Amino acid sequence: MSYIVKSSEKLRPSAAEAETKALLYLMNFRKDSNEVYYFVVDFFNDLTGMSRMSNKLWDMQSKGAKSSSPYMIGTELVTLYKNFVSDFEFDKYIIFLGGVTNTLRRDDKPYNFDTSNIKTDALKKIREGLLDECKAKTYIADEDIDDDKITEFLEKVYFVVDNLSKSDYIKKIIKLNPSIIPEEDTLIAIFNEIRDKQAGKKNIGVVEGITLEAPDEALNYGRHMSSAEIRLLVLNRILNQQVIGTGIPKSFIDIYTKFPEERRNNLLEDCQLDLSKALFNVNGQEEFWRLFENIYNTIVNNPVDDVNSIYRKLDGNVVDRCMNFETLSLKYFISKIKDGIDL
Amino acid sequence: MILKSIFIGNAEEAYINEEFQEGLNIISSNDNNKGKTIVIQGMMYCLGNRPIFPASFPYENYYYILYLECNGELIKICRRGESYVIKQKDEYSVFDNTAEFKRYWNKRIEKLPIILKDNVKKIVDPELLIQVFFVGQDKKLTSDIVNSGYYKKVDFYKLLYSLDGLDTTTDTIEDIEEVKKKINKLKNEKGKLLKENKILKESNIALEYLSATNDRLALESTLKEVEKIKNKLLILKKERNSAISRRTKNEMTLKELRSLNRTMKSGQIACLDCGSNHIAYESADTEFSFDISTVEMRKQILESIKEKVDIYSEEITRLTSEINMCQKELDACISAEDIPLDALLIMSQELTDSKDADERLKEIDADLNGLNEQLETKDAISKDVMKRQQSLLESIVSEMNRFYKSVDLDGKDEYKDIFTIRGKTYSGSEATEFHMSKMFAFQKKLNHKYPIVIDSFRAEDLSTDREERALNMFKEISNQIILTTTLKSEEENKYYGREEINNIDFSSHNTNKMLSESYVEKFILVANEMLVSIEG
Repeated sequence: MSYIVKSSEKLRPSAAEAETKALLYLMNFRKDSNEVYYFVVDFFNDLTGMSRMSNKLWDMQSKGAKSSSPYMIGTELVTLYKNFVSDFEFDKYIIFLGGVTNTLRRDDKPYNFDTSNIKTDALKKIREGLLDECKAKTYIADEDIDDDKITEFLEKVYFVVDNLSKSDYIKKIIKLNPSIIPEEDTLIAIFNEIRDKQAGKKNIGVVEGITLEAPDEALNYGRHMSSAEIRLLVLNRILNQQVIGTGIPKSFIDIYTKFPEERRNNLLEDCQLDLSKALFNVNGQEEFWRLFENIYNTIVNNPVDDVNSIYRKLDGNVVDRCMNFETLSLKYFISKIKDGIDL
Repeated sequence: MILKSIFIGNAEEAYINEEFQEGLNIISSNDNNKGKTIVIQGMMYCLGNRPIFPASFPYENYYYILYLECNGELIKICRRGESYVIKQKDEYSVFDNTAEFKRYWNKRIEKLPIILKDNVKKIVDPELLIQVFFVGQDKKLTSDIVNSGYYKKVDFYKLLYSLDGLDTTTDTIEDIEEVKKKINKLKNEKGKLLKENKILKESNIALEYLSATNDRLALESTLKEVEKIKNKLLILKKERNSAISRRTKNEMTLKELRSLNRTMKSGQIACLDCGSNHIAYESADTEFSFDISTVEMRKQILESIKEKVDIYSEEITRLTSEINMCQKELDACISAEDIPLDALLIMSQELTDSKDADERLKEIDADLNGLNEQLETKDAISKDVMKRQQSLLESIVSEMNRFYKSVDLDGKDEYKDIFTIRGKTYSGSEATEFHMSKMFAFQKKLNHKYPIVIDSFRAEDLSTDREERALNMFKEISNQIILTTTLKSEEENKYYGREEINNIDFSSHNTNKMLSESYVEKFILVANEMLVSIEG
């Protein structure tokens, strides 16, 4: 069994946004979203979701255009079809569309649907488009251009129409405490950050022509992101919107009030300064993210614990390696994260 | 903005009032000393005003908590001394001084006006801002602002312009020529006084000589007084030192952050056999592709720390000026006590003369400084802005006159300015009308959203007819209005049952003892919510 990487796409800037939306759709909006662990960028396809052990694949193609005709959609399906006829087994084939003409759907309401909701005429056009494109592309072998195969493929394709704003996609990533949901601008900035990173992955090395033995080898090329790191990114950006402010995180109040009154504010300020240092320390990135992840997971796994007991449950090695924090400022940091997540 | 409830108290006694509503509120009582002023001043205190409580009320012993609604949002403020706690939504913020409090207010609640003070742009302090919508019972003057000291009349004018959206970084309307004339006049007077003042020098020698007759008792009491002031000085200095050290810490962090932001450059690995640096190292640690912070975030953090530094600087300036005042007090205490009564008698005439001269000299110096400063900035003033400032003032004054004319039907006087000239004082009800008309006109012309609060609004016997006409005028304003008054026995229940008035009756309070044990339990709960733990 082998797979040759072909036609890895040169990115059009306008398409980058749709690809990021596709990623966030895969990450949060599907019933099986929590199984998706890795997002492999521009490798098998625009985007391919992978389970934690790389044994389940979600193949995704995105098309940013606001009103794609059925024929155009058909041509876009070619990369998915390419993967369908390959040796690797993909679990889902999804096409993510920026918008469609009203000639496509039988019922205009659903934004996610399969071919059963596509008008017969439109389906014919899609087929036509796909067939024409298959003939045009060299990487589809002639023996694979087969009516039965195409029928079988089309039945498996899942259509998704984008109907949300960038900020909506970001909001869905983390169940945020409603009181700290940030401004639209901030959410869009986060979206753009993910988009840029995703686009940046395309520039890592050349993968054209590489042969893979199994899907998991795709991870060797560093063209992936994990859902965990995206989640952490969002949380980090939102929580640390205002580091030096005067607000006291709710969970921190217990510790705060135990301090002698005249030193309370100094204590708070010191904690905030420590956190600022951690955020500035570009040489301690890895440590920071690990600590962040560790705190996040500990909080999620122990939702009723208070800050002190969460502090004691953290991984000592991870904590020690993040030099910018000391006991109190770390507890402050834990409080901030704890208050940010809606458990 | 709507003031909703006020809580005053400590572990022993407390007072709570949650009766305030939108529209017109009148607090009334059948006797004096029922606590109206304490409630009103307590509210203003929470808004950052200087404490102006009745002398008999030991205000330092209590916590003050105010609930208010601003732009549909409930905000809770707790104050004691210079410490504030604010709760907005579920977020708490704590401040050690009014400077931080006002900055928070400006950032998170609503924009506050900015004025140019001593050539520095400054967010207006609550003590000045409050005078746009609040008239207290005591210390009010028709000719000047309340607590004129750091802030002067000119600053109040600037505040009004700023509230109206006019550029206040320029100066007052007074003409350059006018200022120059004034300076000349003052200089002349100063020279003359200095000549006459030679007496003062001579007197001093005599005084020193005579002061030797001071008796021990006088000395002792002086020492006690000195001790008191010394302690205050010590506390202030301590506070200043701590502010300085906090500022230093913040400044150091700023520097440190900049260095942390620099990526460390390390050497390169090369193959010793072939010299190639085309060597791959696959790190196990590349699970995260994102940076910890973005440029935006870092910029914001740097700016916040810079602002902290500014706050501490402002605090240091304030403390320094307080320390200076304290030191002056100390000087005054020592030198004043040194003059025994008989010595004063001996040179009574000469001394008083020269003393007056001395006072006057000080005044002249201060005025001269002020005028010179004005001159410096004057050059930059555009005529257009001045015109607009002038027309704003005129429109406020004409609005004041409209109010005055509708209340005082036979009124012959006409207001010329928002302050009276020093020599001219309104007496009795005239002053009351003047203050009311000001509050009215400020809201009408500046369109501010603050509640209008007038303590003792019928002071000096405003007649019933005039009062009714005044209340009628206030109907034009949709802001919350809080007025207080003491009712004569024949006026009892005067406001009771009137639909447009929310009458809050204080008659049942014990005279001179509004706070009581019965409120303590609830007060402690409210205080706990504000992170204040009160021990019983």
